[in-house]
Amino acid sequence: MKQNGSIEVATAKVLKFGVLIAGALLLLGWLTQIRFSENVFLSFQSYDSSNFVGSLQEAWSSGQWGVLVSYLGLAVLISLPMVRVIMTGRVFLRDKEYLMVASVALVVIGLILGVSLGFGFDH
Amino acid sequence: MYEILLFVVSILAGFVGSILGIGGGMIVVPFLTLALGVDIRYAVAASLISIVATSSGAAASFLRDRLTNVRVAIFLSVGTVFGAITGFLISSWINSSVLYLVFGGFLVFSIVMMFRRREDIRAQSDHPWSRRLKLAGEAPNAIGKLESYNVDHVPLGLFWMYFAGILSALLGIGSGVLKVLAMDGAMKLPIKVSSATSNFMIGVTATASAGAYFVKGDVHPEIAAPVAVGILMGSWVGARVMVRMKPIVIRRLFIVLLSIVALQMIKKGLGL
Repeated sequence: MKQNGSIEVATAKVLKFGVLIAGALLLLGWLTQIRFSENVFLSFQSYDSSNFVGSLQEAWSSGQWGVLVSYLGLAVLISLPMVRVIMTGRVFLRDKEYLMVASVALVVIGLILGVSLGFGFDH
Repeated sequence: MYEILLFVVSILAGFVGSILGIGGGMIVVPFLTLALGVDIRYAVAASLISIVATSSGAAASFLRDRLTNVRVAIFLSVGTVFGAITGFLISSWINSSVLYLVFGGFLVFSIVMMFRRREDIRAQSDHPWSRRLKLAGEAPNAIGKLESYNVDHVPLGLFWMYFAGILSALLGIGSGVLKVLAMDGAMKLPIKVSSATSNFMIGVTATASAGAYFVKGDVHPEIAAPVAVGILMGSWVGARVMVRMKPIVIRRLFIVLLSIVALQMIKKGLGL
């Protein structure tokens, strides 16, 4: 990669800023949901395949904005490595490094496939 | 109250993890399962989220140091990402007790690896795949002067990464211990380069399975939020005090703690 310093710096900034935003959203969402008087982990002692879309709809309809903010923080966090890979891919594309572009494309396809499979298991 | 306890333990996990160069998942998953009684599948999903957070958080400094070999990271990520997908699929069918046994076994392996002396052996020749993909690079040596290095055994490294990806998705760990073993052990990358490159890949690998667990509904903010925020805070502090600390004492204590945890995880897996 030629003259990739500025893109590396930009990537580093995006990651740092993204982690801060995601961390702040998660902390804010969590603080509004803390229940000191009960053990919330009791409900997670046995595995029950839950429903992601249903959880979001329930939080939305019952006005649990803390849960929604937490989910937003999680989504931002999960998207960061994907952004990083895509930004790297742009550099390879600019430099006409097509073998590396193909590698980036395979990684992105894998990441999208992973999420799609998760939806397949969402009951 | 229990959430605060989890938050404090996650801070400690991030702190110890950054000093010893390991992920917090090896501490958080056993704590969630053995101490709080959370099902291992939820613990794994929450831990993966924290791995994405710490990897992205640390990436900024690694990128600035120019140690990450982005070409190696991207190419090997093909193996880890598809490994992570395989791991996610396996986890959907596998019994919890098998997960406890595999986790216990991985902890034992990690303890053994903590005694391994990492040697900076440079590859004499560049593998044909490395020449084609231009994987060789330059890194600062002991006196800070840039020195070029070759990359060897690329197919072996790629295969090893697929295996690391499976374990990452199954156990909620970064499997950095496997990644650096392949990179500085088999592919003969300089130690600092393999650590920084491993950090890049850990985040990408964890994203493949964390994204799948997230939309499947296994990531619950009640668990994932205190774990991710706690580990991020702990690793941030750890990275700043590590230059003033003697990791040998922490390492010894951690090996004892990890041995106990490994035994407990194996016992739980065997139903004893």
